Amino acid sequence: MVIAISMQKLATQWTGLADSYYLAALPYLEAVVKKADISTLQCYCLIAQYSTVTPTRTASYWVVGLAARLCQELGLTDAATIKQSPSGVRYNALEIDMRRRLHWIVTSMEYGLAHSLGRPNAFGTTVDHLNVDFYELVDDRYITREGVLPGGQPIMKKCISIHFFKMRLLQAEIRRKLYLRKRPTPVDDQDPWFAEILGKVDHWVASCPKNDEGSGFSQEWFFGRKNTIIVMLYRPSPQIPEPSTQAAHLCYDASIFNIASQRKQIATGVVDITWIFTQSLFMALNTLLWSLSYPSVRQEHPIEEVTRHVQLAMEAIELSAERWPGVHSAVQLYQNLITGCLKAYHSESSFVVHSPSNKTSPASTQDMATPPSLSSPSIHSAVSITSAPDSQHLSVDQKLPRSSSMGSSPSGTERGSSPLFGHFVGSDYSTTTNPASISPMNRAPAKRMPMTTQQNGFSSQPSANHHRDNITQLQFDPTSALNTIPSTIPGFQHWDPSVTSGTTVAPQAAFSTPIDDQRFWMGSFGDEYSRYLQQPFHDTPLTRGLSQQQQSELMANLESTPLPDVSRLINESKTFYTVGLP
Amino acid sequence: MRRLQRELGSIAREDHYLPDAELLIRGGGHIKFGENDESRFLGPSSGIAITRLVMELAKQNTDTKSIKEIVPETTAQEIKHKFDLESAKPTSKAYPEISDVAAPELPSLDLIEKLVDIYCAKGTCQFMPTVDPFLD
Repeated sequence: MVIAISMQKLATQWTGLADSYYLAALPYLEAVVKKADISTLQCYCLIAQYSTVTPTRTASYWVVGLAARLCQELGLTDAATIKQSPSGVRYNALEIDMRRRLHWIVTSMEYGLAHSLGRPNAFGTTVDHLNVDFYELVDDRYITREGVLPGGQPIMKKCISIHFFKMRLLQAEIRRKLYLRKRPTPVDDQDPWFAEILGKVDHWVASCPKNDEGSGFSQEWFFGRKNTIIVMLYRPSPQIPEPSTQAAHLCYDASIFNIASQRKQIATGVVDITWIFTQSLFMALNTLLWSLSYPSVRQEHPIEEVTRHVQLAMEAIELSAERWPGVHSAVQLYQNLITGCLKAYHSESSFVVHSPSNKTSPASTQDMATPPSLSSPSIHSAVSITSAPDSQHLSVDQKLPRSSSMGSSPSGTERGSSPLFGHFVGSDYSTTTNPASISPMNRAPAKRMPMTTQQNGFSSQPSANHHRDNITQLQFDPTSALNTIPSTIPGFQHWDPSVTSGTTVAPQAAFSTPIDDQRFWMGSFGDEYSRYLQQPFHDTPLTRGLSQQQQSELMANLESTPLPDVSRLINESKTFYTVGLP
Repeated sequence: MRRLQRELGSIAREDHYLPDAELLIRGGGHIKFGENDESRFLGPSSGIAITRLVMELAKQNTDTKSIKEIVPETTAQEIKHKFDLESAKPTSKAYPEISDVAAPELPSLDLIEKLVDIYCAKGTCQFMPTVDPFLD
């Protein structure tokens, strides 16, 4: 695995070769998993690390999840249990240090996935519960079974990694405050909490390791991470869905810095083009475009200036596509989106999306003849576009009562199986069978995410009034197995019972039957792409692999190719980190 | 008459769909990449909301009756074409990015050492699952 990961850090021509070593490692996996000990965790970490640098066939989300579970089993997740086994035997210093390392690596990976996917972390606890100390900062040769030898200085890569883990804590804190359930405060970015968290972020940046020793994790890199945190703080969030104008400006500034910085990083090759890197590029571009909703941002930054930043971002994205081929299709989508967004400059209006002050919907539920999950094009129905193109046309300014989000039809289901379980229904789910029954008022544009059960995990819920209307209008037939289940439950405003977590896969199957999980990170635009174009998001399929002959050819080439000289990076560093350590 | 016209105008505006920030941003999403793909859930911190908002902005400014006009048929075909091109790439000069075969043996010791050095130098700043002595 180390060989595979390392090869992935070389030029892209060796990617297939790296993959052959990854495949070579996999047969050992079952035996390693059975051991269910520290070495298992190490392997999980390596597999997960491999998947950050290349599209893989591993269900990395599941691997990290398993690692999280194993951490808990092994007692790594709590200070009380990290130093001794369940039987009370105390581990030696070397073992404890490795346990701490693995705890932090797995926690960081799991928190990272939770952040990028917007899912809860597998540990099920908040950042408040993290009480395990960091590992030793000195070089490994000073860490022995008997203890840490004196005289060792903190080494840079350990300082960098620990600093990176601290970022995870900050992200988790923000996620808890702004991205979970609605809290009484903060209601806007003037809340004292913002000043508090920004103080922590600034301190974190100021105390970062100053010398990256060529690893790429420089001060600028840490500053870039600060900018992603700024964006996370000030962009629309569930807690504060309507950011202030000042917030939009801050997001703009943060995004353009990151776009330029990331473009430079690609040019100089200092960091790996991981999927996280690519996703950050998209986030920066999205944020930049979103900030143009605010007239004040448009006034301050002329279209020519914005166009330059956008072009730089697109350049960077195109370059990332060399490592992550699925990105190519997104590029095209963005060309059109950008054109659309830049047209905002033709107007002085605000395009900021607001929450209506009056939450009760103006229209009654009688208006909905068909549940919108049937009428809205979906990825399923996109496949059937050719058979009924007319019914698939979407209107931007369709008249649609806001209440149509999750209401069920007064006339019950028209399709037999529950339309509210849209995404479970296979070919049955089609908008082509009876276009006439689809009321034009329900032809919500596909991008109206809140409108479809199929495509929304937690779909938007209509007002409380509508909840009641919704329930009372259900037609319940006690003799039928096909009653619709209400999509809204009073009091659980954002819970949709038709959501499941998707297909679960047994761990054994996850390894023996490779699952194509490479695209999970592209969700946020892949999803919108599908709606936008009414067709599946075309990922470049990695169907062709290296043949035995090609593998041998590449191997022979690599043996004779000079590799990057990293000797100065791995020798024990004379530079040590002197800023006050916790 | 004018009063009726005004009323009609206000009703039309009321009926006009307005995206609701609260709902748009809080809602997660189920993503599918292909018709046989399983749904994957993405929550708010993934940034899915901002993608929706960007699309909203683009749509509001294109003044079109149909999404399809924003992405004209030709462009949609271009996208498909690009996709097809990717799939059809010749393999003679460009090696595939994944492998159908496992590597039959480890590289030479010299190469292994260099690769391990690269790993230690560049792969351990965020992850260091192994203790160096293990690699000896």
